[in-house]
Amino acid sequence: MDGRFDFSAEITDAVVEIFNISVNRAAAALSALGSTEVVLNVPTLDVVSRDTLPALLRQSCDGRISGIRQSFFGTIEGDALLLFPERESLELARSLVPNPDEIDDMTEMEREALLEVGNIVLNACIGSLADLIANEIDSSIPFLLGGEPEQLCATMISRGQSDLLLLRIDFQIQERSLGGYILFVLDLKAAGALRRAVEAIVLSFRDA
Amino acid sequence: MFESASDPPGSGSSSCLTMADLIEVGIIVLTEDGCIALWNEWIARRTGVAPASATGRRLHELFPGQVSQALLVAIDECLNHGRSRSLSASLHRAPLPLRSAFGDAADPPEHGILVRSVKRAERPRRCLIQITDVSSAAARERALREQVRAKQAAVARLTGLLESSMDGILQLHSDGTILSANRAAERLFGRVPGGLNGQPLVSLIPSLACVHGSDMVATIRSLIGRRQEHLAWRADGSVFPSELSVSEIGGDAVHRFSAFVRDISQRKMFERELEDNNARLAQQTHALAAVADRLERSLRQAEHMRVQAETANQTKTNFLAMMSHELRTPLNAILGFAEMIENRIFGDKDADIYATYGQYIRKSGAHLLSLVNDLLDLAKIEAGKMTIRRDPIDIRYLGLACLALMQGQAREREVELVAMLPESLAPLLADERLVKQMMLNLLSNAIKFTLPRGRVVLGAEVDMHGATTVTVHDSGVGMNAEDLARALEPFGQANDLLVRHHQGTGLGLPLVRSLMELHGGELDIRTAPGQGTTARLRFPPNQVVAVQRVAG
Repeated sequence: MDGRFDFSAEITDAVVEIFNISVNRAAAALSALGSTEVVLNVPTLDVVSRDTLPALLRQSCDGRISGIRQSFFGTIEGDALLLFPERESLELARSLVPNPDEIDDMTEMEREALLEVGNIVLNACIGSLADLIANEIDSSIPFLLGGEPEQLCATMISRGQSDLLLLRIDFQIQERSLGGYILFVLDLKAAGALRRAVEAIVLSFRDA
Repeated sequence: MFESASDPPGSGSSSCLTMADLIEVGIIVLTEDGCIALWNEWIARRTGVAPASATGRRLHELFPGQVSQALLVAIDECLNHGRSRSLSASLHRAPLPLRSAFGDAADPPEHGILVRSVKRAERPRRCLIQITDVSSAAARERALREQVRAKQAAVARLTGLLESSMDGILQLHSDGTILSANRAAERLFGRVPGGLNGQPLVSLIPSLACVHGSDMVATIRSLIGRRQEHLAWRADGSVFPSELSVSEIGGDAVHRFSAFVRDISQRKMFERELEDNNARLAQQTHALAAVADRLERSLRQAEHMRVQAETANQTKTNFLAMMSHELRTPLNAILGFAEMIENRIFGDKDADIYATYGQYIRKSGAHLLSLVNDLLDLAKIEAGKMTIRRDPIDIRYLGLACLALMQGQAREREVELVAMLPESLAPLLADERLVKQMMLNLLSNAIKFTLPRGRVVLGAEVDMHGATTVTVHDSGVGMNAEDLARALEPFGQANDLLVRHHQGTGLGLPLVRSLMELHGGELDIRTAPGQGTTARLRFPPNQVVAVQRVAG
């Protein structure tokens, strides 16, 4: 390891594939819950620097961002995030909670509902990842976060991390045309662990 | 704490349990095989299951068929895969059979549940379930939603009211800027929806700038509570009369006002029509009054003419009756005395008597002649045929001549004639024959109505304006006002016994008056019973010729 992310195209494809499976499970869980169809795009894997992340977030979500964060621990440690433009997070919460009255702020009940939705999606992703690498990964309870992209990045990414592995999955909730994305933020150590795990899988497939 | 909780209850680590009991949330700790290791006081209260009864058992054993599938899956995922889960009250109804804090079964409580995977070092994974009663928060939110819905409905009703108003309604900032306007206002001023927002009110009603100049706050305040009429401008530059009233919107520290604007063109038009109609009506009334006035005047004139005609007719009848009498009397005398002379009824012995009769006949004839002359003159004047000459007359000379002519008559009645005629009288421009006739008439009358030993004075003077006045004053019987009025009418005094007695023609004074009028002057008679009579002939000033010219 040279201390930098070093994912070959093959590994990258494998990671994308793995997450695709996870995310599809999450979509199924979400659809069942909200009785609405959730469409998830093929994930993309990028290595970004800590400093460029806010600008990247802004490209997709201009203005304030709402999200759910879950940390995971075990063989691979990192943060999983589900992010939406703030306005859309409100819409999503309203789609889940009956009695959709127009109250400007998100209510406590709506926050809880949103939290659970994020929790389901992120747990599905973390679970798929754990299954894949055949290792135990525990997840923390989810937290809601919100703010400008800069604030968000400052609170969720520790100073020590300069490069981040960014796994991005865009999704749309049909009928409401809501969109957002899922981020997996891994540090160097975690990324290395992931690569090794994925390499092992790829090798096992080759051997087979 | 969790390590302690795994120890058997009452094994000396009960302090942790006691602490968990102090927390106002439900805490359940499950061991790796799903058995209950910790069951705090809160959860015991809400489930009715004491910690001693719960410990060591599994949830689905405690509440068979009453634990939700979602919670069971979450616990399974937690213990077997280390996933933490949150179950929201909005999405999960009654994951556990919990009572409400007040034991009220009618309104089931709502709970948020966190299922947390807890793993420390190499020890087996445990599951911490945290249950929070969110019923009151949920109830508050429902109440809030209800309030919001009621407010939105109220706002919708008010908005509907404002929008359906026929009047333009503007919300104003205290600086006179329009904050919002209803559709009626936008239509009134010919603007698109939202086109009035941000505009100054003065741009719509320029005359407001004249109220308090640039002090818009004062201007707007001055409009509060009273209706004012102003000309308002539409977007296309056309103008319409409007009625404006303003009220202050209370509440905030910031002053805001609402203005109500109404197009009153139609009302103005009606008012103008009404005014026009009133004016026309007034004109017609005036014209009618004028017609009525003319009619009344015509009626009065007609009445006057009728009375005059009647009077004239009566006068004529009287005149004819008097005339025939007056003419017949001297004629009878003439005929009677002439017959006596013809038949020589006294024979030839007293020849002198016939001379006396002849004198009677002559006097009667002369009287008849003067009567006929006066009549002819009057008729001539009335017919407008009488023309007068303008000769310079020496009044003193003429007066003396007249006195001389009347001397005989005066002596007969023992009346003294006096002349008061100054020598230096300026000549009068008049008709000499007519002036003489007037003087003789007045002197004759004066002598006739003056008792014996009375006197008649003839005077004349020229006043400072050059007007000549001839005066005939007698010390006679005089007249009252009624007699005088009658005396001035032709034969007016015919019934007067005195007149009969004195054989007047009854035409003297009317004739003198008519002749004076012909000269542009007037006859003035001052008299009272027993006070004598003064008759004045006043000639106008221009009738006098300058003395020196005549002298020259």
